[in-house]
Amino acid sequence: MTIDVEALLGEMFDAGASVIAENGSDISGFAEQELKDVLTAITTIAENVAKNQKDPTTGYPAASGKALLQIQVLALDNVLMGIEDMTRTTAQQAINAMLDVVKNVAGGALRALV
Amino acid sequence: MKMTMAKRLVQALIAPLAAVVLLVACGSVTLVAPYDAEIEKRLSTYNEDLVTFVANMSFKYGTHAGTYSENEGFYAQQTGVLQTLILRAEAQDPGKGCLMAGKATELLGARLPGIVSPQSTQATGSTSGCTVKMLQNIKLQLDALRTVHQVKKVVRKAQGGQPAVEMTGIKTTEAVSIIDGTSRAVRAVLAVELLKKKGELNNDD
Repeated sequence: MTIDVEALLGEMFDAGASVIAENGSDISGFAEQELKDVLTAITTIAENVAKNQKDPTTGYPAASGKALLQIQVLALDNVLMGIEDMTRTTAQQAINAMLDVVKNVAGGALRALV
Repeated sequence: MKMTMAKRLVQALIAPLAAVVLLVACGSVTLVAPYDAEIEKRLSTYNEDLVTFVANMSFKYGTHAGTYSENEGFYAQQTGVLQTLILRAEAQDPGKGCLMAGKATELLGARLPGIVSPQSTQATGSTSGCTVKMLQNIKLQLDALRTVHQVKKVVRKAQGGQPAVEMTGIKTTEAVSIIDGTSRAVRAVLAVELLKKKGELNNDD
């Protein structure tokens, strides 16, 4: 069996690129909306603490505001880590898709060389 | 003749490279933990229980039934649920670390000193994987929710010689922020799991 290196490389890149293209829109859609919402939520907390300082029956006390801010910061942390993990997942799927092509297309021919 | 020499040269160069590729191809690359249906299922249930609890507490705000002391059991139970999920994620962690762990705390802490500060368990970058760190953050959020519930709030101002009435509880405005933040953190884990699941389903095709 002979190997058409160019065709093999083409198939490998196509396999990797299709995984990246498919996951790319999932990742950017997730990131954009989540980042926008978390910044809005942080602004709302500051407004409610300010309200409570004027009238203690409205908004919420600073101690609550601090804990609520902590919840939002941790959420933002998770959004960033989620983006990292989604990127890693995409990279893993792309690399493995390329390796699968090598295994399936050229495995038989290459086995003779080792 | 020249073509034959060139062909031989290419073959001589490609053969060892191809052998390496073949050796790599015998296995596969692991950068993240595998898809875990249990994490997806149990974390979704956790979020559902938490949203129901917080909404319920906000309806009962200003009554004895909505106070922290009447409802502390919820926190112990849910801490157990999250701790189990963290252990599960740790057991499957491929050990590649997580670069973005604690990054938001670091960035906002620099702009809001004294307001945003890292917890003792948080540091920027981690040797644990992102799933482990994300689940630990969800547990820290539960601790922060407990704090909100424990803070005494003025239910009624002092009036006609009567002192102000203060009670622990969760106000509707607090509930909105809690549900928003915790759901966002949970959604990040679920988004990753669903992407992994999609990849595994595509592989099965």
